[in-house]
Amino acid sequence: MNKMFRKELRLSSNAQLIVFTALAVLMLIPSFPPAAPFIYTIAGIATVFPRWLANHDIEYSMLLPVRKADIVRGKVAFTVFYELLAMVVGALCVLIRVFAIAPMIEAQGGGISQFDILTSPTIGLFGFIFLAGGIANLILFPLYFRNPFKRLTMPPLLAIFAYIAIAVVGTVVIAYVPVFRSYETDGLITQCLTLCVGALAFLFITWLGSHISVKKFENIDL
Amino acid sequence: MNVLEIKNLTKKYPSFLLDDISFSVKAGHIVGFIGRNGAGKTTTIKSIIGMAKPDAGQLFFNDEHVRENEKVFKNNIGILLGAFDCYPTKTIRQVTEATKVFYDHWDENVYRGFLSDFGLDENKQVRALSSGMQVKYGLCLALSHGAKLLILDEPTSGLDPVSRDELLDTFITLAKEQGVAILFSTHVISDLEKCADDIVYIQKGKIIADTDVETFEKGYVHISGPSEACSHLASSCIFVRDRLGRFEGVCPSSRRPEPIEGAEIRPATLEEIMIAFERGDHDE
Repeated sequence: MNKMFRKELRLSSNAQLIVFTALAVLMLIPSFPPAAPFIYTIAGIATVFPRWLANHDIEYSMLLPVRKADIVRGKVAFTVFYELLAMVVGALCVLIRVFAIAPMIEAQGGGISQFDILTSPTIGLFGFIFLAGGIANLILFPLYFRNPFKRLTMPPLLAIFAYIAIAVVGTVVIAYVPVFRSYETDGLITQCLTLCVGALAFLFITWLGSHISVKKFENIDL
Repeated sequence: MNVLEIKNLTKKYPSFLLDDISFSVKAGHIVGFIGRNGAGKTTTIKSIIGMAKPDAGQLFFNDEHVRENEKVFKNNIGILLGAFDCYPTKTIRQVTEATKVFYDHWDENVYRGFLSDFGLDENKQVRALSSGMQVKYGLCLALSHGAKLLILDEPTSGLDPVSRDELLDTFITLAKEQGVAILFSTHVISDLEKCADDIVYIQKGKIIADTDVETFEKGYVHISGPSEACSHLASSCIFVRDRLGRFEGVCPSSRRPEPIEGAEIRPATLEEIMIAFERGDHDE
């Protein structure tokens, strides 16, 4: 699987995907909808599927000394890599925003509005983003591997809509449920738990999507 | 020794049946896999390399089950399915760099040798290659990791006559000097006459001949001559073309007629036998 992952990095990474992933830096902007940058990541990932079709990637991959399952797992790992990369970039931007930009604005006499506070990302928000990423993977991969020679139209849209729905729920929850904004002991515990549960859900749901995809892919004739 | 052995391979599609086929490819042998379009050649090849899932049958590579040792199998075979047109916007260098890490026995010197022989520029995008050059690039990838078995689907299509001849020489060298087994599917029967040791003939999903080329060719004779002198032989032939006063027919050697004045009777070529099988009425 490692070789397939590296092969995907070499051949499937493209400017659109990289730019869309890099848009996680939008987390730096005060009052920017906190989960929105990651929607671009999923949109970027959705651009890879038609490229695989246009590049005859499945035909190429089948010539290599790998099992069909490795082809699926390599593509899932490649996707997860970009999702996690966007999360890391986003998290770093949040730290910069909280510890560098906000104090600088305050030092210059600028005020942090209530809207800024309500829309600033928290640890718990990343739990929701993880969950949304997992659901997107669960939609994208089984539908793609059901027939990788078919042009994907609905699955990326479904994945993006599902992602947006969960991200909106997450944004509303962190804005209006006080414990999700609090960094007192209770709030911190709740947020850390949300993050852990989200991360575990991401791993499990992505694994499930990968597992279903392997079963589908192994049973189709190419 | 059989490098590849196919036993009772069956694959059902709604409109096609690959029907219980069995054959083998020996080390150092070039096997011509022939049959007309839709006969089942590609389905067989796809089943061998795992692109199609057979409904029944077994595949062995060096006496090991292929499906249970898929990575080892694919590490030891070279595959070319027509022209290589994958990742068209990447350069040859980029595709090769991504490909070679998969092979345990990748030989950079062999690869560079083929690149040079075939006149391929590593900095060219795959889409910038003509279809003949794409075939050559696909062959570079297939031949550079010490494969013990080559599975080639139409490897000479799109090649000019000189390149085709060079390539056939390369296949003969690989088979005879390095003991590589080659399964060679093609419509260009003249290529097989130059290099094949054995013939596997598939028709409508069934193997109808599996023998060495010499035996296969010796099994049939070609008769040609004036219609008035030869037309009485039609009943012995599996295929007859009788028009404009000229008779042509192919018949089994067991029914070879006595010499006829004005007629030529000679061993049939592979192409004549194939046309007779496909257009005529054979039951042997």
